[in-house]
Amino acid sequence: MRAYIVRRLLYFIPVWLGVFLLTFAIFHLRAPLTLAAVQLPQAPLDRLQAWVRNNVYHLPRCFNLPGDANIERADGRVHPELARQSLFHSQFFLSAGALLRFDLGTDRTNKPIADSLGERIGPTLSIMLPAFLLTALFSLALALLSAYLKDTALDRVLVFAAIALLSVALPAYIIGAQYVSEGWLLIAHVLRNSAVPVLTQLSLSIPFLITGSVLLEQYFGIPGMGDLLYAGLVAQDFQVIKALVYLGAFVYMLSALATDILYAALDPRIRLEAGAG
Amino acid sequence: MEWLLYNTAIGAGGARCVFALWRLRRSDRGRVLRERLSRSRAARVSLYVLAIYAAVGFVALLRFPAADGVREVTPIDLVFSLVPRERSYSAPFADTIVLAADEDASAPENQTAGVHPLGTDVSGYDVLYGVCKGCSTALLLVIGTMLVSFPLGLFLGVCAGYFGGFVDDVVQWLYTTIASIPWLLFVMAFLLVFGRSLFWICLAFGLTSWVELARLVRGETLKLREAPYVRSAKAIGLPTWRILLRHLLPNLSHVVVITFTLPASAIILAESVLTFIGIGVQAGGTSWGRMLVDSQVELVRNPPIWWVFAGASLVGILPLVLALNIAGDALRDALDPRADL
Repeated sequence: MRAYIVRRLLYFIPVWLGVFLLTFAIFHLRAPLTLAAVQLPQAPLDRLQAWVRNNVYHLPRCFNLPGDANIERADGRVHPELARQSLFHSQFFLSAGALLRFDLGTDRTNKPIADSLGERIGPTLSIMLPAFLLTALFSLALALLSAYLKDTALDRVLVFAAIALLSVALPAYIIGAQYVSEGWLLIAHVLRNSAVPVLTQLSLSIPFLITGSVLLEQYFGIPGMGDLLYAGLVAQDFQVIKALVYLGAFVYMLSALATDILYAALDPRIRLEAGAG
Repeated sequence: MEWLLYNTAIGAGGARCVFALWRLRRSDRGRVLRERLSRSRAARVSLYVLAIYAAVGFVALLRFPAADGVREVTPIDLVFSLVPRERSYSAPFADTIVLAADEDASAPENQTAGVHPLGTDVSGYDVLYGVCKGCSTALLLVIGTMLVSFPLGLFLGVCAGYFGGFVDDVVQWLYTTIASIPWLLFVMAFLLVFGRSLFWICLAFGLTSWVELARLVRGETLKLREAPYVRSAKAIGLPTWRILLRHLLPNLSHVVVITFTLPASAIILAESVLTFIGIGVQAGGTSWGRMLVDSQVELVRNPPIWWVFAGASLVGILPLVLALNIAGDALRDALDPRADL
């Protein structure tokens, strides 16, 4: 079991690298001026160039080659001071370094994003945790009922309700698929045997606690994570969005890890297969 | 003349789909499928619902030059130009205008221009018109997403399953990575950087939704790789691309059908969410999400204007998503090779 957990933890490294590369590709592969033009439609060139400089897109993308210091950058200027910096003073290595140090950077107003996250996690959790628990309980009960009454009118009504309230539909669906027909054996048997899909579904909806709260917080004016995401989108603050992408991926990976360990605890076969492979 | 070319292209695409369905209907496989599907009335009804929505969406994609020669109109515009336009809101089936106490309700100038089953919006347009136009946006989104995600998912999944080893590792790493980023966050970041047109929305959805398909296709290919016909194809020295294209891909079609329906309903719902947050369809565009967002301010009026909201959600989104889910479940059961005949 310990070997399994260690192996599973080591798997974090390539996936985290992938998340970083993907995020970098989204935010840094486009030409800086094109990027600026998307953010500031119909702005004159000097404003676009100012945008490039404010967002540090004038740095070299991969390597800060000494010979390139006199090239005109996307902000329309030459940056001779780059010659004094190291080879790795570039967009790629600076973002990678910041991520390794868990430095999420600052937002437009120079406020550290980590601080904003700390302030906003409370309100979000105070809403999303009860909602999550209620969803889990509610959909479990409904799904058991629906599976027990399979192919009756009530089952159809429940399926209809589940789809209408699609937020609870997926967990409900999965358990609904594990049909067992006889009496109250249902709970003992189904719950145990369907533990694996239920756990997957529940743990996969944990990252949804962040993204799912966008609508809710927006609608009711709650100063939580979703509100931060929305504000970041409206202000077109790349750093905030990037930080939230990392955070979302991190939460997802943690919950996937927890699920896998729970699986292994529930079902020894998984442990053995993984050990053999 | 451009519109003629455009309509021909759209028409050819539509005809191709209809032809494929017709051929499936005639084939042995299609007969078995139909037999299994006909057991459930809900499945049959939802397939008809899907067909209606697809047809309306398709018709709304066609373009014709308008009478003034500048704008282009769709057949939906032409049909609804026959429906008289109101001055402003009109409740569903309303036939009189709300009047002051001293006005004569039966006077001809105080009658509404026509009766609208779903009411009209603030500028007097029929809500049903908006719902029909929303169909085409939904159809475009679904088709556009599939055009990105199916080739990606099929290609990577088949390669991973067939070649195994290093290729498999890379593909698995790729889809684990993409699955690790909550897709809504990925889509938001993507749209923020690339812009908010329908094209980029489709691309963003497509890039996140090939994961499930690739996973299933990989598993299925792993099984098929050892099948006698694939081994004999290999033994007689067929080139690899031919084995993949002619022998493996056609036998993966059931996986494709199974993974089609759930993403489709997710895409339709996601469009509303993105539009609500302000990075989906922009103001002035037509989509169900746009209608929902616009109807938000009208819901808090006194008396509330509820029919725009009801039209978009109860006539637009809900039946389609419901039908997609039911049809998807039924197709999955019907295509399951392990199911008894």
